[in-house]
Amino acid sequence: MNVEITGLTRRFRRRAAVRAVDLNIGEGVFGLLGPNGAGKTTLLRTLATVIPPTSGTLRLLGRDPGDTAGRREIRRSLGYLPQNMGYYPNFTVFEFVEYFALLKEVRSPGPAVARAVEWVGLGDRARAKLRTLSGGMLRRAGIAQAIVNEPKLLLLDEPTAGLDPEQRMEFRALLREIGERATVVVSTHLVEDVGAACDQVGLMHDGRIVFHGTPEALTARGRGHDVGDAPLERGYAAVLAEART
Amino acid sequence: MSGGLLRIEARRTALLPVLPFSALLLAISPIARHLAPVALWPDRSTDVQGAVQAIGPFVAGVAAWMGHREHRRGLGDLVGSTPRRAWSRWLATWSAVAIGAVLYYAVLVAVIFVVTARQASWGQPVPWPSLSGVASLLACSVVGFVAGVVLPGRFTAPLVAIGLFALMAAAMQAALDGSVLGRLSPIYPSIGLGASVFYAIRPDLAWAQIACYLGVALLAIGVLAVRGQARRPGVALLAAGLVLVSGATGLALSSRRDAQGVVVPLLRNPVTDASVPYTPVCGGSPVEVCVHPAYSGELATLGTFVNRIAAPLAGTPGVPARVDQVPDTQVTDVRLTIPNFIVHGDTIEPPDFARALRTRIALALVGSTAGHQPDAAQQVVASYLVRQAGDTPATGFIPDNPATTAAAARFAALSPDARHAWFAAHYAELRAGIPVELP
Repeated sequence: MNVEITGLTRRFRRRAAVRAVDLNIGEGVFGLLGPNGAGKTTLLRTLATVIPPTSGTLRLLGRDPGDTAGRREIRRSLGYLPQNMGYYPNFTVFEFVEYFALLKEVRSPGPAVARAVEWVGLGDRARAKLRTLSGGMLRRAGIAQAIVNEPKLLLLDEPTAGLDPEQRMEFRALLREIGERATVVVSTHLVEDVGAACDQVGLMHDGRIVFHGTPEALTARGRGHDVGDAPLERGYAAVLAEART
Repeated sequence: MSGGLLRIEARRTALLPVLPFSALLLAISPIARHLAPVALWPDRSTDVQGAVQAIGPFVAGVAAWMGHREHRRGLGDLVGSTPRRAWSRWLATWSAVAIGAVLYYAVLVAVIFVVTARQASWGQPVPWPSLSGVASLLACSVVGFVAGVVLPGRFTAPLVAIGLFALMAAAMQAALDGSVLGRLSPIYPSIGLGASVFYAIRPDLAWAQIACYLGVALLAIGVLAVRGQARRPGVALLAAGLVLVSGATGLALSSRRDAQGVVVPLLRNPVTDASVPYTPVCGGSPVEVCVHPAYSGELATLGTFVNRIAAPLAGTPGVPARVDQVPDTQVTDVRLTIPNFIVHGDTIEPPDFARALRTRIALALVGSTAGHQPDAAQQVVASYLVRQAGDTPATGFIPDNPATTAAAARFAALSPDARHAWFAAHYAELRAGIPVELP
């Protein structure tokens, strides 16, 4: 298992954003669903080693992120795309991705950067300044920096926000490709992304994992439930309704 | 720190876009105007140090801007999930600013030195003020950067720039008011200009200043390291910085001023007390004016200037046949003290300075040397000499007294023959300070 979470709680002062989460994730694409404020971003930030858990244990890629050396090793094999990705507007796409390649201590950053930029379809805009890119292109530049080190653990927070339908389809294909050799955790509130790209899905509500299983199992939970347009959406709504009661 | 990171940062540092603005400010500042006067290497080298007043706050502000860039751009989570320590990427960002600032300063130094080399007739560049300037720019850049990291905010950069500008000026003023610690201000001349080209350069204060700025830089880098997950090197840097700043403070506290500049007993080298031998260059008639070769370009102007004042004394027995330039700091009975002066075209500027110089030369011609109060007759004759040269006496040397003015007017009203006869009869007594009866 690349992600092993036991009883993980993360508090911000008195408010618990993540409550006693137990979760094990192996290779493949894991979709993290949930309404706004469910704790998805906090859980992802914890997995990205940006914030430490308040309590509970966490092991990533077989290492303890609480240990300095372990954390550094994890980060070398980690790709992360935050929900609100900041960027330096006067950097070119290539420089931005190269900057993160260097921060991730990639051995030969040049070819890795070129590969990542091509992979996200920004090869022809590699010399363009980030401030000249559209929202969707910026998101793709963000994905390029996340995958530049060929991560074993890729954490993507709302990665398809701002992408057009064609780009989203291409992105899902990219996710499936990466998921064949790494663990990809995708936080989203777009249920169709999960249905199309994920092997496993977790549903968070009020800081807890209220469902963990396959997309098919989630779909099955929605049978007989009439809220939602698609089968997976009905399963999502049914689990949430159950959790709320 | 990665070379790749530094390369990207150097290409994208915020310093580059503001450099033209800073260059424009420098071009219209007094520093640029100062390039026209007498080209003395010690003065010009000190001008280079003074340029820090204009560049340092700029650099600090830009560094502060770059220091809070991650916070401003919301990259905290993204960079926080990478294995490289914050200290390493901060060091790259700061280094890009610092290298840019030093290169910019080097260009400025080169321009001033090239201009000076084309104008100067004697001497060579003095490195100490430039070295002090580089060290102070490094300190400005890292202090600004740390302020940006520690206190991120949209007003941090302008506040740092304005604060540093005010701090430099306040320290300079404190030094002028007698504070020994104020001598550590980056814009306080690290070499003594009073001795100018006449004595060897004394670098005592420059050493103290450089140690102080490097110490401040190390302290700030230490803060950066401790904050950026590099505690051990951070503590070592803090300790080294503290030692340097303490040492520099001790050196400054033990320093004292003399005619040649600032002496630090611990760093004193007796060689720098010796005067530098030179062969004066002379010109002008009938009174010959002899100046240090560094002033040879101004000899003709000065010859005319002195002879215009001395014109009524022509042919009078006992009038000095020669006027020698000596350091402004030196008091002598037998030579005329001509301090460092500024020449624009064929006039000596500024007017107040020319007036003071005229008055001092006139007083010296009638026998009153620097540091001695002229008697009434000397004041009257000196006043006359100044007025006939087209000026009024500087009140700092000859008090504005109606009786003196009236007596000088009476003296001027004499016919040239009568005046010449009076000088022939009384000039020797006048110069000796023996009371004489005025016409």
